[in-house]
Order: sequence, then structure tokens, then C-alpha cells
Amino acid sequence: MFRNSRVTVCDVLVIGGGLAGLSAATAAAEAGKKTVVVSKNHPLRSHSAAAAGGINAALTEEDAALHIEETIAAGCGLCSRNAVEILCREAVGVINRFLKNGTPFQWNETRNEPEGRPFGAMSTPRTRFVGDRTGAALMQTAFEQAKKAGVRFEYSVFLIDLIKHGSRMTGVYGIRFETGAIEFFSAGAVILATGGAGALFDITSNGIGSTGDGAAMALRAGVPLRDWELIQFHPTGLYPSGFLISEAARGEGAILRNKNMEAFMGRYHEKADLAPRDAVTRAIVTELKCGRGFGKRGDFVLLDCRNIPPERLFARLPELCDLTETVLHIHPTTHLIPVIPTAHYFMGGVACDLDGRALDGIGFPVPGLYAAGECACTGVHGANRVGGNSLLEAVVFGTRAGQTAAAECADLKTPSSSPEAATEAAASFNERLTLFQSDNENSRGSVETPLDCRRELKEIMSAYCSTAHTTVRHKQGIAKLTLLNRRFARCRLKNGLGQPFNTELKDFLETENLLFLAAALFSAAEERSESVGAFYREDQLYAGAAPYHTATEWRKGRFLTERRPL
Amino acid sequence: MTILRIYRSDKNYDIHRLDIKPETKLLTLFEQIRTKIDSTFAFSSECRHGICGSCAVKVNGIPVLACKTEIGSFRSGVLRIEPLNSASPKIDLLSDFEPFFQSFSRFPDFAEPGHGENTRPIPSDAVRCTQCGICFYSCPSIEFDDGFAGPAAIVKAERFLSDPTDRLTRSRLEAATENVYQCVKCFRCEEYCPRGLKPEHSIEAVRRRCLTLPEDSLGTVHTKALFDSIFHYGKINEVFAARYIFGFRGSLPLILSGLPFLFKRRVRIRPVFSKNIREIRKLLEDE
Repeated sequence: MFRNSRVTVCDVLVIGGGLAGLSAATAAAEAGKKTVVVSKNHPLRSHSAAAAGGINAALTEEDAALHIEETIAAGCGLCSRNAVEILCREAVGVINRFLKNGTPFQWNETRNEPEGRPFGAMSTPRTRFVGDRTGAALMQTAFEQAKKAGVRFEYSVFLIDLIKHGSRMTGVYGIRFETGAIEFFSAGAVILATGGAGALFDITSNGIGSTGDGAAMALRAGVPLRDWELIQFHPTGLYPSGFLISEAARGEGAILRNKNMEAFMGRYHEKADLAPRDAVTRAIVTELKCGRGFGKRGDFVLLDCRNIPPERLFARLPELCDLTETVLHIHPTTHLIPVIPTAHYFMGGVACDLDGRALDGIGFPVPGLYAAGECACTGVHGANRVGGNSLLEAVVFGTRAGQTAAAECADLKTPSSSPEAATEAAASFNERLTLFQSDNENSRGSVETPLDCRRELKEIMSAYCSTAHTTVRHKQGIAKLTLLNRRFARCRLKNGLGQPFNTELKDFLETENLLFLAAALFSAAEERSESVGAFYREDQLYAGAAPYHTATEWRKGRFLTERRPL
Repeated sequence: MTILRIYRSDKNYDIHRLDIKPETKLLTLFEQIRTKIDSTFAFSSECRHGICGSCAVKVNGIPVLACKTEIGSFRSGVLRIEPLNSASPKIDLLSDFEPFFQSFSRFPDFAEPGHGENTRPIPSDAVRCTQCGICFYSCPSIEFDDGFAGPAAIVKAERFLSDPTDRLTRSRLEAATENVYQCVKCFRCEEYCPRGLKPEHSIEAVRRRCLTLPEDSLGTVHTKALFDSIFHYGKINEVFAARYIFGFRGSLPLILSGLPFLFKRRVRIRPVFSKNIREIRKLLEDE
């Protein structure tokens, strides 16, 4: 039935058009490979653009050594030293490349180099920035360079699953939003760069499109996720929605205050407000728990920007002023900003080696599959990411993944993709979809909508699997998730495949991915028995076990999490 | 009570009567409609706080970002909500952004720096542009003239042009002569820009740069023609300017299309001199 479907054949296929995806695509295209970026939104709408504070780059050799040590120290023993060294040493090159291509970094006139701002967990100001819109500025340059390199963009295609031929990943299939038709993408190498799954949580700094589709696809294709339970909660999300208040605010001098107007961070960490993010988040959670929060329910603390000179604030944090003004109608020069910890970044993801090759359960590369950016776990962030390292990781490891994929991609003259496997996969997907369309017995009574389920999922995740973990909470959460999965099975779609602009179907598929990833998250979180970095266990039984990774795999219809030595 | 008339496909409008707090954001409202009333209702959004630029819609004809606009900010209790490019919408509130994204390719859309030179970046407001398309789809010139590149693309081009190490200045300016002069200075782009950027300023800057091109290029000739016309007659004389720019033969089709104006006495063949021609000339000479 999919004989007439459109098939796109290319050398390197990049899934996701964020900063990591664009970097990978540019690298692959510059190596002379036919490269296609396929994404569900236009690349410029990607969530990389919301990264505000900056990109870390040590410009001297000594500072790079310090950057390495500080990144590893913040990572709480789970970092891979080799990966961190690559990350920090390649940073200069990244900055120079972006400068050359026209990214207008803030300039330090006296030192004649990009200005650095202090950031959390760092001893020297090495976060280079463009106002507080660094991600967007980098995205624009990266998009220009990708277009220049001859990358083809296929956007508003929602991808469903990877296509496997033997053990090799040979492509993907998905639905084109405009037509509602199934499309196939066949490639010599597939790079996953789909970002994180921040949409799992109620209070999140991520956009509504950060649903972790790539991670879910990888899981379904038998690729394990490493350290999936390690989720960074950014200390300062705007209350109550969780929109990001950049760490740059604290870098420029803002201070967190509790109900008694006390600058409480000094009590928790020697670096006070510029402590690593996990420490600040935990401090805020503790303050709230001790009843020192603001508001009727005492559920937020305040960020005091009044000691930053107004001119500096306008010049360096214009987005922050804009955000507080539009959302809360307050101005940071006169008012304190209500903040709460907000789900921000997934340290875990598809395990990869230093060149971006995705690794399977026993640590061998999966042929044809690569990963980069937030959806990958290269080991640079360990258990707690340092602010400003994510943009750097996206570019450095995105580029490396692109280069490796270009060098290793299968020659498509020997047909590596089998159309039968692809059409079979699509047919079974269609069959499954029709189950949700037909009015069979189960649909009687209340009919669910995918968005209702998603809202409930967010509530469950926020309550049972966020900043503080206990085994009891996990058990309760899993029970609720099981009930929710049952309710989700009662969802009924008005239209199936072939319906143009089927938003309902997109919501449905995204929610399905989120539910899948939530179960994986619970499985991983149960396995990690003690606090490490951003993962905080209240019922920690013993500490001091040798650090380990968790590997979560989807096998025979259930999730299995195992510990792996570093 | 707020009455919403929301555009759906095929020129139909859905009418919702809702009790909403005035401080509710439009986007929240759309989300509620999709969750509670109609799950097939299509609109686009991503970051929900004005950074990604996906959620631009028209409310009572005024283009806004849905995530930053409150219901109460409109005087009227009836809100007519339409997609941004109401001329050719895709479905519901989804706009076809392809022409907008294509407009950036009118100019070489990337930096081409010279080697071994100072890499000091030029600070630019253009980086604050979210490419939401509001300026493009509210521009009357775009609606009637395919030639115009649109404000956002020109803002971006100006950013590259202001870089002294840029090696593509010539081809950028040549592209500009074709794509910049259609602006009619209505200032709608500045009025509606959710980021407070000044596209008109950039358009003017690019036009000024076009004068550095050789004498026979379209932009220079255009400017010169208008200047001479004002110098001679004290006002813009269309017939004179057209002959100057396109030559006698080239301006024949223009004269044909100008005939109706001639009959309505909007255009005159016999030149009319301004009364204060001497003062005008003096002013121009001082320049």
C-alpha cells in the first residue's frame, strides 16, 4: 500500500534541526556527502534558540585545563575524561569558526577577544555570549552555514520509527504534515539529534516540541539509553510556568532570596549563587520544604536583580527584561522575580563514543546510527551539566558525528535499504493506528484525548519523578502511569493517515513517545539507588558505591535497566 | 464575555463565546480550545514565550505573537483571529511560511569573510530577529510586488553589509538594487515588530549603500533620477524619472500603464515647477 510513497535517498540523514543537527549536517555536507535534515519544525524554530546564557570556551591552554577539571568536578564522577578533554580543547576552534561566520559575540575591547561572563560552577568568566540570546544567534549562523554547504531541509515531517536492515539502521519513515502521507528516508548513515524530552514535566523550560522522539525511536529500535534518569532541573525557572531565567542573571550578579529576604545560597555552597546547578536547585527545594518560600503556598523563591546596574541589565539581559515584562508585568530593576526549579536538560540519552557512533547494550557501535546533542550521552556532562556546556557540546560533538557519519556512511549504490522492511514497518504502524480509529468495544464510555493524557502525564512525572526521588514514590508513579497507559489506549482519533495537517495525530504520536519515555525514566530511576549530581534520592540507603552508568533497554515488551561500570 | 471568531479552513469561522480572564494569553486560549473543544484545531507554537517566533497570528487584522498577547489588550470584545498570511493560509491558523523563508535567499544568506583579517564582530540588532514573519506578511509591498525581498531579509542583509571584511558586498548590493526599492515607507514593519526592531532603518541604510555601486546600476540611476527630477522641477516628475531610468523605449510600457493616471490628471506631461524651486535647489546644493 505504500508503493507510491515518496522516498528520499541520501548519504547522511540528520534527524532534528537544532544546533547539533545543523552542525552535523554542515560537517557531513562539507565532506561532500548528500545530506538531508529532516525535522518536525522548521530548523529555526528549534529549541536550541531558547538557550540564553552562552557557550563556554576557554581561549587559553591553561584555562582549558581548568575548564576540564571544573566540568569533571561538577559531573560528580560520571564524566568521561576523554570526552571532556575533546569538548574543552575544541572550544576555541568553535568560537573562532562562529566569529568568522558572523556571530556577533559581545566583544571585550581591552583584551580584544570575545567577552566572557561568569557562570555557575566556574572559576573564570569563560562563557561567551550574544546578549542573552546566544542560542538563537548561533542557530542563525549554523543555519546559514548549513544552507551554504548545500544541506537539504525537509521540515514538518513527523518521524515514527527507524528502519533496520539486519543490524544496520538504513533510514526512517514518518508522516508529512502537509499531506498526511507516509514518507520514507533511506540513508547510508542516520544521525539522531532530536534533543531532550523536557515536555515530560509540568514545569519545564523546554518547548512543547521537546518530546524526545529520537530517544523513543532509538529505544524501540533496540538501542539502550544511558543514564536516562539524570535530568537537570534548572534552578531559576519563571514561576509558575518554568520559562527559563538564564543563569547569566546570576552570572551578572543576581542573588536568590527566601521569604526572610535572606541570600540563602551562601549557607549551602562556597560559590553561593554561582554554585553548580544541582546544588542551587537542591538548596531551593530545601528552602521551600523548610517553609521559607514565598507566596500563599510558599512554593517559590525570589531572584533579586536589583543590584545589577540597569544599563548593564538592558544591554546584557534584554530577553530577561522582555520575558518578565510580558509574562508577569514586572521589571527586574524594580521587582524581584519569582523563580522555581524547572526541568531543563537530559544528561542521559543514546550512549555514544567520542566520534558520535551510537553504542548498543554491550558497547559496540550500532552500524549506521549516530547521535549528537541533548539526545546523546557522550559523557561530557556526567551527572550534572555545567551551564554553557550544552551549546558547546552540540557544536563539537555534532560536528564530530557529522564527520564520522560522512566517512563511514554506506555506499548507496549497493542497495542497503530494503524497501520491504520499510513498507512492512509502515504497514504495521498503519494497522496499529486504525485500532485507535475504529469504534470498537473499548471506546465506549469516556473517550480520552491525547492532550488530556499528556497533561496528566506531566502531573505524574512532576509529582513522582522530579527533583527528589524515593522508591515509594517511584512505585506510586509507576502504578499511576500504568493506569494512564490504559486510559491512553482508549484514545480515539478522528482521522488517520492521509489526512492533511492532522494535528491530533501528531499530538497522539508525541504523547505516545512521552509515555514510553516516562516508563523508561521510572525504570532507570528505580535502578539508581543513591544520589549523584542532579539525581537526588531522599531514601538513600548507602553511599559510596563506585560510580556507574545505567543502561535502559526495551526488550520483549518491557524495560530492563542494568548497571554498567564506567 | 469574549467572542472569538477563529478562522478555519475554507473561509469558515468557528465562533466561540467564552468567559476568559483578560490577562489570558491568546496561545493559552488556543491550547484550551484544542484540548477541550476541538482536537483537530491547528496552530503552531513552540517555546511559548516569544523566542521562537512560531505563533504569529492576526487578531482583528493586526499581526501579533499569540504567546505574548493578552486577550484584554484589545478594546473590542469580538476577536477575529486569522492566520498570518490570510491570503493563502494552509489550514486553520497555520500560515505558509515558505515564501518568507525563501525571501532570505534573495541575498547571499551567509557571511563570507576575508581571510587573515580582524574577526571582531559588528554588533547588530538583527540578531534579535526571531523570523516570525510578522513584518513580511503585514507588508503591503509584498502583497503586490514579488520583487520586494521584505523587511526581515533586508535587516539580515544589512547586518552582513555592515561587516567591513565581507567579501560578497558587491553581489549583496547588486541583489539589493532589485529587491529593496519597492518599499513604500508605510512603517508597518516597525509598528508591528514584536522585538522592536527597525527594519525601515535598515532599508534606508541598504539603499544608501547601493549608491556606492557603479553609475549605471539600477539603484544609483533610480536615486539619481529622483534627485535630478527634484532639482529641476522641485518635485518628483514621473515621466521625467521614468525616461531617465529606463530610457525612452524602456519607459513606453510604463507610459501605457500610466495613461489612466493621465486621464485622471494624477500625472501631467507638461512639467509643473514647484513654487519655491530656488530654495529647494539651494537646499540640495548645500547637501
